[in-house]
Amino acid sequence: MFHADADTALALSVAHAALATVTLWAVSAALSIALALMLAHGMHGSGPLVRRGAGAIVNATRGVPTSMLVLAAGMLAMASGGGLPVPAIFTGTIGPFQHVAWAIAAALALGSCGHLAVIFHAAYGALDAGRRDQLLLLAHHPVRKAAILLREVLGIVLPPTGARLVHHLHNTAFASLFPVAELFGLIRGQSEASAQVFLFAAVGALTYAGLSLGIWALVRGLEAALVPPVRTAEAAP
Amino acid sequence: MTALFDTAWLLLFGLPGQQPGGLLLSVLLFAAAGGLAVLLGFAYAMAATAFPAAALPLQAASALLRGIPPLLLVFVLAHVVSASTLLAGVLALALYSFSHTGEILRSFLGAYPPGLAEQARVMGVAPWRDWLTLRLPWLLWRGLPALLTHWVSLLKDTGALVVIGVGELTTVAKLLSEARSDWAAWIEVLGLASAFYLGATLVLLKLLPALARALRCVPPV
Repeated sequence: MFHADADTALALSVAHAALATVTLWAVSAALSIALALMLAHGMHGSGPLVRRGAGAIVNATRGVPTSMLVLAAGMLAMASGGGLPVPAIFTGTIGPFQHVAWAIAAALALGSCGHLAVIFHAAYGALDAGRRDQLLLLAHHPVRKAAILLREVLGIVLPPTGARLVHHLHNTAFASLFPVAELFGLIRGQSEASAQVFLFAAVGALTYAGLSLGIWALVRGLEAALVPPVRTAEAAP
Repeated sequence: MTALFDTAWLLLFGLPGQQPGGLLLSVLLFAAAGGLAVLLGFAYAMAATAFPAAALPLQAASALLRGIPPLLLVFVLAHVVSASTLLAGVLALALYSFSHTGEILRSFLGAYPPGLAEQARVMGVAPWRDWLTLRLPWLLWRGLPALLTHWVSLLKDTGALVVIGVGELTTVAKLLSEARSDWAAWIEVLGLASAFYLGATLVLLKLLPALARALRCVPPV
């Protein structure tokens, strides 16, 4: 009975920590994709200053380790004392440290945006110029143009984006350097408290592997649902 | 100015009594782990190519390893190899790197042109000579861009050793910034450390292709 209770408690705490990690991942990944789209747009900008500026930001964010960005953001947020009211969306992180979680999400986003911008930039460049012009002629509104382009490049963009988002998931573990709830922090804390390092490490490894598999499945699902099928000469009417 | 120079020195070479540390230790860790991973990766790629029946379980194990964050590997290995955190760090980084390098080498080895293999066989080239003079240079030539991308990532991932307190660049930057009270000093330390990482990755990106060309692994672009 005692073991069953202990197992249930362990499963619940891992589930909560995994949910916290997923929240941190989702918020930072969404921020990162938004930043990357802006940077990729800048890399194709009309002015040389914009292009060089965007390129410099991309190179800087790709060259600086995410650990360093998280460290800087976390320390600044801890010292600021949380002057700004922020939405408390990070489950498991106590109220006074919600702003630290936001700062770390922003740092994680910055750490991945350069890599994602290069993926988006390369995908846009891979489109045939004639095809690109043809597609853009189909729409006048910028949002419609963006939607058409997005549909066209999704097949190129999704696989490497998925791989980067798995790496992004692993980077969320750096949040454990600060009082922000996530999976690696739980594994580390419980291992040290109970001296059952291998049990908790195995649980952590399997949970991370499961989450990575989930990201891969999500990306494959998006590919299947959104990427238009390739038309061959025989298949065309 | 002297304070800035002192900070830069500590970040480059480590804290007093804990040298080599800082960027120098990060580079040494990267070289040791990366080298070990390439050796393991070659063995994995050869095994997966030579024994197709073993390829699927090997790939599954490699995929599982790739799904585990380097921080968790570092933490676990630090408990397995409790005698030396430095050795644990090298082994953890090597395992993490191997999970990527092995797949890169396996996929490129799988794409080795059958025509070249046939030519070597017809000319009576000994298997060891075939591997050393034909397949390995071809692998490095074709796989270098993918390996380089991974190595840049590995150099930055040496920062994962901050969780076990090995005195590489991220750990030194963390300790130095925690010892200071004002924001300007933190930004100075973390900015310098970031600049050193950026510089090291740029050097790596320029140096390795040049080295490969000098060793005639890669034809001039």
